[in-house]
Amino acid sequence: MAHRQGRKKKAAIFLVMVAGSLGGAAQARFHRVEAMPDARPIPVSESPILVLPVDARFEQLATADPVASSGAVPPDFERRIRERVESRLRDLGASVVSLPMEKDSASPGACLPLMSEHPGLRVLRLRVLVKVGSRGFWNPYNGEIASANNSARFKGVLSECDGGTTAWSNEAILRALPKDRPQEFDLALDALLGLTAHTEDER
Amino acid sequence: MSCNHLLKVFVLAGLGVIVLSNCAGVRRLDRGTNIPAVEADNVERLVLLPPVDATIREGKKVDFDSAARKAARRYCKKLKLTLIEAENGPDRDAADVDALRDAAPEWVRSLGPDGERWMLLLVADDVTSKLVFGSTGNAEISAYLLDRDSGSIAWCAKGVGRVGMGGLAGMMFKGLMASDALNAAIGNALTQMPHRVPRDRTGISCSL
Repeated sequence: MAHRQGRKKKAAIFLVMVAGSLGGAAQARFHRVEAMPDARPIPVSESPILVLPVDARFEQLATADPVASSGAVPPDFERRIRERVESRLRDLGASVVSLPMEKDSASPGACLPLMSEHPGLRVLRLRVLVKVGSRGFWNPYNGEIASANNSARFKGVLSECDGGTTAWSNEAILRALPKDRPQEFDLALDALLGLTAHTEDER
Repeated sequence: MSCNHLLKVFVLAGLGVIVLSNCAGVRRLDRGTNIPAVEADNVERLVLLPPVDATIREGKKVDFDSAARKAARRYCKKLKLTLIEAENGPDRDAADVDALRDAAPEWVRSLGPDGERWMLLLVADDVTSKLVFGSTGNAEISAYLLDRDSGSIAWCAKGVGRVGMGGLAGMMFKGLMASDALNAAIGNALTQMPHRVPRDRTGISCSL
């Protein structure tokens, strides 16, 4: 009799744990790609847009010391971002002014010489901060567990070339290294432009 | 003289040598540490600027303001510092590291109450929790000590918090992971904060 009661008790504890786990699973899920909650799509009008060279930085998460980009991002990272953004802007019907510009020409006044040719020109500045953190792990013997904390944070600001007035800005985050998650890296760029909502993840 | 006596003499002599050599070492150390004291200012009173939540989250936000204030109160109580909680502080855009680094000294001086010097600013950069076979939480914050006198950043640091609990029991506690990670990150950042800021460090450019 006592043996049966013990089994019932164990079963009850197990059921409570399963119910609690399901409750945990039902809570807000992990979003690998997210944008600002009040983000609106990038405004596309008649006036052309010049996408300036991407300002990309790579640092250690814990110390903010600079790190090599090779382990964190795919080759031609900055060029790939710029091409993807230009392509998405064209899909939206924007007139994109594409010029081969060097990184040091990404100053605020870089667009001024182009104003006579493209009246009403606006510039899109893109900034990426890639933080290299620690890997996730799970120790089945003692239950120790942690998730990776790498991230790439994107910021885009669209402003008037002549006045410098900000017409639009948005931020997005990819909670992984772009090299490890190429598809979600593209999604993060779409989220930055306000084109998609977040993606849900996954374990 | 018996063997026992000889042994005692050797042991005592050995101990004497050890003691003398240690004393000599201390004397050498004393001479070696004859360095002029670094001029430093004590941080005795601290103004806590309103914490800034700079996370990118579409879902439910973690109450960073409350967590940061509680942690700062605990920290100041432990170190017997006077904490003053300011009502006005930088907004999300101004709490960016580049913006703070490039901020005009006049703007920094406009933060916090008059007569105070050291201001602590805590910024939440990211907070997440994740369900795996168990649950995990990650948080990342930036902490800045601003000097009103020089109108610049005197010190800055990152605080990273990683927490997790495996198994079914861990899955039950997913709701607590984000706030646990955030508390760990705040604690991590605050423990790095110097109690004395060398005078020549005021006006450094923050490396974050």
